[in-house]
Amino acid sequence: MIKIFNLIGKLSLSTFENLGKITLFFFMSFFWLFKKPFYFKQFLSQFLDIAFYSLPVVGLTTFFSGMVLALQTFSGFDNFNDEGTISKIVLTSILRELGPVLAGLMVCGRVGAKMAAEIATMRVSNQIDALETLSTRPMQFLISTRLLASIIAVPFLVLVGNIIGVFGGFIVATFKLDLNPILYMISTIDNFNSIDLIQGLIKALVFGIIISIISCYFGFNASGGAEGVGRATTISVVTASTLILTSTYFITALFI
Amino acid sequence: MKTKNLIDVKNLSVSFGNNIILNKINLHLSKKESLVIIGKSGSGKSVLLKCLMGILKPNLGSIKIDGVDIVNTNRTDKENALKNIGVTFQNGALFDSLTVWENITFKETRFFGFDKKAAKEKALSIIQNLELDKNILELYPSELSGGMQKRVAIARAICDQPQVLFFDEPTSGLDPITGKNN
Ligand SMILES: Nc1ncnc2c1ncn2[C@@H]1O[C@H](COP(=O)(O)OP(=O)(O)OP(=O)(O)O)[C@@H](O)[C@H]1O
Ligand SMILES: [Mg+2]
Repeated sequence: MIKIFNLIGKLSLSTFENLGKITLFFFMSFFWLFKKPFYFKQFLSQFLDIAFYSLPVVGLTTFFSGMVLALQTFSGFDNFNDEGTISKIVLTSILRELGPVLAGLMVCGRVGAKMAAEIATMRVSNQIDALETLSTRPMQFLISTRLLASIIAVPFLVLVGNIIGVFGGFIVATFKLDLNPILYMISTIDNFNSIDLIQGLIKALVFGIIISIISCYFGFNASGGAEGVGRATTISVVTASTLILTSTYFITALFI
Repeated sequence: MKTKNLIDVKNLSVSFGNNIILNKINLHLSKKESLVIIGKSGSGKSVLLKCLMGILKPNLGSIKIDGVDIVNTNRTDKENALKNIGVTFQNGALFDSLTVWENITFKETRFFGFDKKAAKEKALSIIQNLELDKNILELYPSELSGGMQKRVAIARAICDQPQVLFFDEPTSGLDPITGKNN
């Protein structure tokens, strides 16, 4: 037990220690985005990897969350199980919170871990040094392209996830809870509020930055062979998912 | 006025913590000169080379390549000075997500407009001098033997005919005959 607390303490300490460096790292990679050359091929392969190959897992999780939301609302609030209430709760929770957070966590596990491991391996096997000697700035070639890819891909995933999630709620509401499909759809459209969507997309954007920057940072600064690669991967997934779950609170607070 | 050297290293010192690896190294090389550095394992040969490649910042001293001090200058000048250098690393350091020919022509294909066929031909002409088979062009570094990786790394270093070449243990991992022929 003490060991666990010890570990948590150590992790959070090093997280704070790294915070300044990570901010600098972010600005650096952002800066290099606007300098020539732009490595389009790198960007494209990263974008496809995040946007396209994460679709199944993001779709599946948001679909089931939409379904469970409808079910929970129905059984939890006895007096409010009409079309209007259920559709409103499903819609707002998905748009504001569940869509972005679920997509963020899924991408964090899938893509963040991969980015960290890939870049850490390149670091410990001198491939990053080799890039430098081949007149290619590693920051621009590896990090900026990944940053841009996730800044675009995560909001895209959230958008798709939102639609699938709301659809999941609709399925349960009409097929399992026997609500009126037309009424449900009309009240979903009535309850749509673009501010909710924007809030979710801003979260997605922030999560995209968090995932790519955190993973790349720990990968880029990895040292010490295979163990170092493992360490970089673990710490980046832990840090990024923690940051996702904390930052969503602060972004929500901005909108209240 | 003294003659201009291609590489001028003055008072180069590197230490990691209290561990002094290089202590006031002086080194001068002019064009067409070659130098072999031999030393005990762990004596700092690779560290010296990393300094010369501009990867490791020394604690003290200066390194001038073609007149530009790569230690105490801005990033752009340093990048320009290092453009003319080809290097290999002790462990090869090939990009394992790229095929052999992509590795070899990495520097050229980076910019747009260098087509695939020309790049492959160029890679082929280089590896033939290194006694490598043309079948390996489409393979990934992990599918090569250690010595083959080493030779591909050399091919990558010499691909754009740089003025200066730094090799870190180019012949380790090669059999004596292959090593000698190259
Ligand atoms: N990043 C580093 N951090 C701390 N110490 C280092 C680092 N890199 C190298 N050293 C130390 O510097 C010394 C010289 O290392 P270097 O790799 O230059 O040796 P070498 O002469 O190339 O040896 P070999 O012939 O085995 O390749 C070693 O004692 C090593 O422990
Ligand atoms: Mg060495």
